[in-house]
Parts: sequence; C-alpha cells; structure tokens
Amino acid sequence: MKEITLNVNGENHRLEIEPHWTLLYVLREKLDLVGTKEGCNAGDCGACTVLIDGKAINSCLFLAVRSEGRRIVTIEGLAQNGKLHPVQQAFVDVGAVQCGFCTPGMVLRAVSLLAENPQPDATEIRQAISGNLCRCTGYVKIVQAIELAAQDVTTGSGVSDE
Amino acid sequence: MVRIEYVEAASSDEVLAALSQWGPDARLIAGGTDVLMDIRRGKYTPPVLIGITEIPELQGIRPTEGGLWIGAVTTHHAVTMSPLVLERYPVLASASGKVGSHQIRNVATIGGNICNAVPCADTAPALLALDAQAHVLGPEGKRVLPLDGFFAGPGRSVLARNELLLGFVLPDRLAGAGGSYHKHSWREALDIQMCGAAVVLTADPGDCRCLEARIALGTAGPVPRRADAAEAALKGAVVNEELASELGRIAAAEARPRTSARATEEYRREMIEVLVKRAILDALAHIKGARS
Ligand SMILES: Cc1cc2nc3c(=O)[nH]c(=O)nc-3n(C[C@H](O)[C@H](O)[C@H](O)COP(=O)(O)OP(=O)(O)OC[C@H]3O[C@@H](n4cnc5c(N)ncnc54)[C@H](O)[C@@H]3O)c2cc1C
Ligand code: FES
Ligand code: FES
Repeated sequence: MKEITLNVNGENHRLEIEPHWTLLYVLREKLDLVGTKEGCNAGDCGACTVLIDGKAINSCLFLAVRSEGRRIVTIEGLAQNGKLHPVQQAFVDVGAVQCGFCTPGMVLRAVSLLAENPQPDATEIRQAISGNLCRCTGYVKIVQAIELAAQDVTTGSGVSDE
Repeated sequence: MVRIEYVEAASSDEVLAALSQWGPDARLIAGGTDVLMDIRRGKYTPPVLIGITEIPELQGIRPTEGGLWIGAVTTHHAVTMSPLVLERYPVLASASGKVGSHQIRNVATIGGNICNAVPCADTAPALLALDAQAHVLGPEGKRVLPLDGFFAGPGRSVLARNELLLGFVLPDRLAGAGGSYHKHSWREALDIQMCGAAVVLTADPGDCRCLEARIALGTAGPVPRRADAAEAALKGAVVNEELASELGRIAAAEARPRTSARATEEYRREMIEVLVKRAILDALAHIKGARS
C-alpha cells in the first residue's frame, strides 16, 4: 500500500492505494464517485473519461499514483452550487441522453473540447468525440447538444481553465 | 493477488539505477497505454513499473544540433500541436494524430509507440521516412542509432533490458520536405491499421525531379520497414501520377504482409499499392503547394 493525496473536484483526499490501481478503480471503489463509468476497461469506449489538469484522459488506462499533485475533475464536479454546467444543461435541453452510460464521458470530453476550441463545427465535434462510444443515440443529439453548449459556454468556466 | 510496485524516476540516471536494482523483469512505463493493457491481458506481470514521464531530459520538442529533438515521453497530442513539427515535419504530426483517440493521444507517447515495436505502430513509418535517429542511454553511456534497424521483430526492438530511449532527432535536411502518411483501417477513429505508408521526398520544384526519397510501410512485414526498391525507383525520376502508380506496385511487390484477423495478405498488398500511390501524390502536391 502507498499513501497518496488526490485532488478530485477541488477536494483533497488522503488514500491508501496499491500502486497498480487505476484512477478509474480508485474513483469508483474508494471514493464512491460512480459517475465515472467502466465500459471496456481497454481505452476503447471513453465511458471512463475524466479531466486531469483540464485534459480528457481514459481513467481506465491511468494509474492513480500518477494523478497525485494534479487536478482531477469527474462528472460529479461539473455542477456548481446546484446549477448544471452549460454542457450538462445542453445535453438535457436537446435530449442527448438515453441510457446515460456514455454521458459522463461525453460531457467531460465536450467540456475539454470547448476549452480548446470554443466554436467547433459539427465535423470537429464528431472527430473530438470519436473516442467516446454511444450505443443508444446515434450521436446526432449529442453533436447538437455540444453545438448548443458552444453557444453559451464561455471558456474558462472554472472547470478546465488554467 | 498481483503486486506491482511503482517508482517515479526523476532523472535518466535514476532509471538506470532502478533497472539495475530491480532486474530484467522491471518495466518502464511512459503513457502506459500499451503496458497497462499488456498487464491486463496477462502478457507479463512486472515486479515494478518505473515511471519516466517526469524526466526533463526525455521531454520537449526543440531545435538541436543538426535537427529537431523530440523527447521520448512527448505525447502524440503534443506532437500534433507542435508548431515546429507542423511546419517542418507535418508527416509526423499527421501520423501521431492518427493514433487512437483524443484521450489516448493525451497520454500515449511517441517513445512508447516506437519501443513497443509492433508492425502497426502509426508513428514508425513517418519516423523511418524522416530518417529519425534514436538517442539511447544505457549503463555504458549514450548511443545514437538510426531508426532503420531499431526494430528486431514483432514487439521487439534492439534496446537491451537496461536501456532507455531518450528521444529522436529529425534531420534539418528533411525539414520542409514533401511528406504524407496514409493509414488504412476499418474505422476512421480508434482503430489499428490494416496497413500504412509514409512518404517523404524532396524534388526540384521546377520539373518535379525527385532529389531524395523515403518510403516506409507499416504492417507490411514483421517490423515497420522502408520500401527500398520503390525508393530506388523514385530517386532521380520525374514524379507524376504514372510514376506514383508504378511505385505503388513496386512497394506492394516488396512488402511482406501476412494474413491476420484484421485483413488478408492479398488485401493488405493491394492497399499498400494504393496508399503508396496516394502518399506520393500528396507529397508532390505539398511540394508544388510550397512553391506557389
Ligand atoms: C484504445 C487504444 C487504441 C490505440 N490505438 C493505436 C493506434 O491507432 N495506433 C498506434 O500506433 N497505437 C495505438 N495504440 C497503442 C499505444 O497507444 C501506442 O503504441 C502508444 O504510443 C504507446 O505509448 P505509451 O507511452 O502509452 O507506451 P507505454 O505503454 O508506456 O510503453 C510501451 C512500451 O515501450 C516501453 N517504453 C516506453 N517508453 C520507453 C522509453 N523511453 N525507453 C525504453 N522503453 C520504453 C515500455 O516499457 C513498454 O514496453 C492504442 C492503444 C489503445 C489502448
Ligand atoms: S472504460 Fe476506459 S475507455 Fe472504456
Ligand atoms: S446514451 Fe446510452 S450509451 Fe449513450
């Protein structure tokens, strides 16, 4: 066991972990942050996407030990004071959520995309979410939701700013 | 239950010390996208993972003597965003941009891609076509070796167990040369190639006579490799569509692909012909575009 401090959604957590545990495992099983999903556990589906220092990564392929000293944002950390993040709100408004399993990863990838490129076109959005699989929606509503969010997300919404 | 220790190395000397302390089964981990999957699939269980991404010596993209330095732990995302790479060696930016997904490219490194040494590594043909030199550190000191010759077999490089790849140098000579990388896969995103082809060429902008040429193939044999016969036929010739078609045929004939679940040998060979032709015509367009 190894003792580490993880900064998740602005809060520090002191934890005892095994060095080979993934960030996904620690988030779900040790911190009860089960909004981050495990789909493939192989880097293929994007359901486990979280932000590390503002960058979207697959938490199933990232060791928790390497997250120390960095800012981790999960889906639970997006809403502020009970108000949904604009990307979350857009997913609700457009109806881009069906079973919801891909949604946390999709939303976080969209948040990181809009921080890098506040006005993406539909092709750029499709390319950006190509590492996130959705088995329900056919992606049309998801792309629409991200387009809608782009209209009101001001970059540096406090989530993926530097 | 398996137990794997983790050591974060702060310098390349610490890596060498850790490798000698833990022995030959210790495993270096950069982005970990290959290592963690290999462990999960039971390919190996190292006693320790030695993290190398925090070592300043292995980081960064910067001009160096004779060329451009690309540190081994540079992520594919950083390669695709680097103004120096985009301006001088766009073929490499294109290849790194075709690895996995955005999330994978944010952590996976160019050094890991090459040290993993599989025939389908997307950056291998581009780096081969750019005459990359690999800078390697071992107990006896540093050595520099051409990437051509770095791959020893599927999943094997010439690196010894106690050696560390520091990075690559791309020669100034090929900065701004025409270049193109084509990858053929079932899906456009998040898919391993059936085959790939990279071309780098310099030509007289007037009559399009080829001055220097490099053609490299992915998944066209046990290791990523140069297409020597096609290169020889390209050098000194006037580059046009007819020649590009002919070079595609030559490259396909010298390729040694095999049948796997992803594609048959015959299909791969046909696609290598197509990819080489396309890459040559793109590289030519690149040269003509630079002139106008
Ligand atoms: C979902 C998914 C999709 C993928 N898609 C692609 C794709 O489209 N194209 C492609 O080419 N690859 C793909 N890959 C494979 C992988 O992402 C790449 O090969 C990547 O570049 C590996 O880099 P890494 O930093 O993660 O390597 P690691 O996993 O950290 O290391 C890989 C190997 O290299 C060794 N190593 C790493 N750095 C060094 C060094 N500096 N010196 C000596 N040895 C070293 C390690 O010990 C290990 O054996 C994919 C992987 C996944 C999981
Ligand atoms: S669970 Fe991580 S990418 Fe599928
Ligand atoms: S909404 Fe069900 S997987 Fe996307």
